[in-house]
Amino acid sequence: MGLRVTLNQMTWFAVPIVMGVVAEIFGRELSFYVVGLTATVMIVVLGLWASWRNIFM
Amino acid sequence: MIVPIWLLQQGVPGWLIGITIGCRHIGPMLLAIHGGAVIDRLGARRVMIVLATISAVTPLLYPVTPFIWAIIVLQLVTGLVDSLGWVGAQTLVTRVMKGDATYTGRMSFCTRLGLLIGPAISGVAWDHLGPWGGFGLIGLWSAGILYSVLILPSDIDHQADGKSEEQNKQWSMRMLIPQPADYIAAFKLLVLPTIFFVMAMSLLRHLGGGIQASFYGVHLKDIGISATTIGLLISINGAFGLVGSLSAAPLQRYFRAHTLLLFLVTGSIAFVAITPLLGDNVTSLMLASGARGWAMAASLVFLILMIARYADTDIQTCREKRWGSG
Repeated sequence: MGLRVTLNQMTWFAVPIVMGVVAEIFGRELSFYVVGLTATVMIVVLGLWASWRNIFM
Repeated sequence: MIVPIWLLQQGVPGWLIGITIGCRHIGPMLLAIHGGAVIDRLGARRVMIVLATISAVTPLLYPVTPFIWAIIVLQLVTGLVDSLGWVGAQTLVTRVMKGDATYTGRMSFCTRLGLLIGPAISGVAWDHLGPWGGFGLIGLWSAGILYSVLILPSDIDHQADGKSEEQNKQWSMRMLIPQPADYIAAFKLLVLPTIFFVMAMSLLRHLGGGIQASFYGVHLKDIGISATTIGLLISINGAFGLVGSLSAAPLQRYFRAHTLLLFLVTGSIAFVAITPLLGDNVTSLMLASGARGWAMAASLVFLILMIARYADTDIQTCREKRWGSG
């Protein structure tokens, strides 16, 4: 649980900074799509990895 | 909500208000792992009694604290105490409810209900009774947590971890000092596939929240949406969260927990990432905000449930095989 809270707090701390940088490069509206798409790709990869490793038998 | 209003009333500049509010995240980021280790060693109930007592007293110190730096210290304390209290509560939920989706859903429902009505009634208390009313209500709320923890069976921790009461009672001041070994042990857990999956999903789940807390409001304000409507959109998010918490258990009859978690976390991010596509159509924005609140709340149930079902078992197995049971 402690590890989960640490990682969550890191996300809360990092997301506004990352989004700010992305917004500077691509513009504010595009930053929503870029961050959203990147996260979705990460979830798909995580799902495929879990399925491939069969971690939830 | 009360602290920014108090700071504004004290004439604190905007940049310092931001730093003061942000300070709440520093303690949990650095000390949550240590706090989790202390909870494991001393027992969740005992640690939570101390945390809830601090939570009940510290809000009452805000109205008598005249210096901003003292308020920053209070923010560091309350942020850490709140987060560790949440760690303790989730530890008890996974131990006592053992991954039951119905009970975890009810716990998540109560959390969402608190998030929905807490700010509203503290606002009312502030308007009618001033700073003492606002901060007093937060103290009273924490006293309710203290009462809840006190009525738990005193042997609840060693029922779950198998340690005797005597073993749980043994403690020293050294336990309160952060140990690098605890951090190494916690991060080592990421080599376990189930832990890695749950932690990665937890991290990604909060990404949508990070967007909402930062650029969501800025974007909506920029396209001409009023502050009241933005507040309403965030309330809708919370309200649908109540439904999400209770709908988790029925969903589980049709799909496996990790599949649901994948779809719900994707949904929670997608419904906030499409915000610019919706333009200034308030109905669409309300629907997206509601759907996001529903997905966030339901995903929390599956996250806690998976920690209880898979992660705790894997940690125990790993400790026995590789690191020794001590």
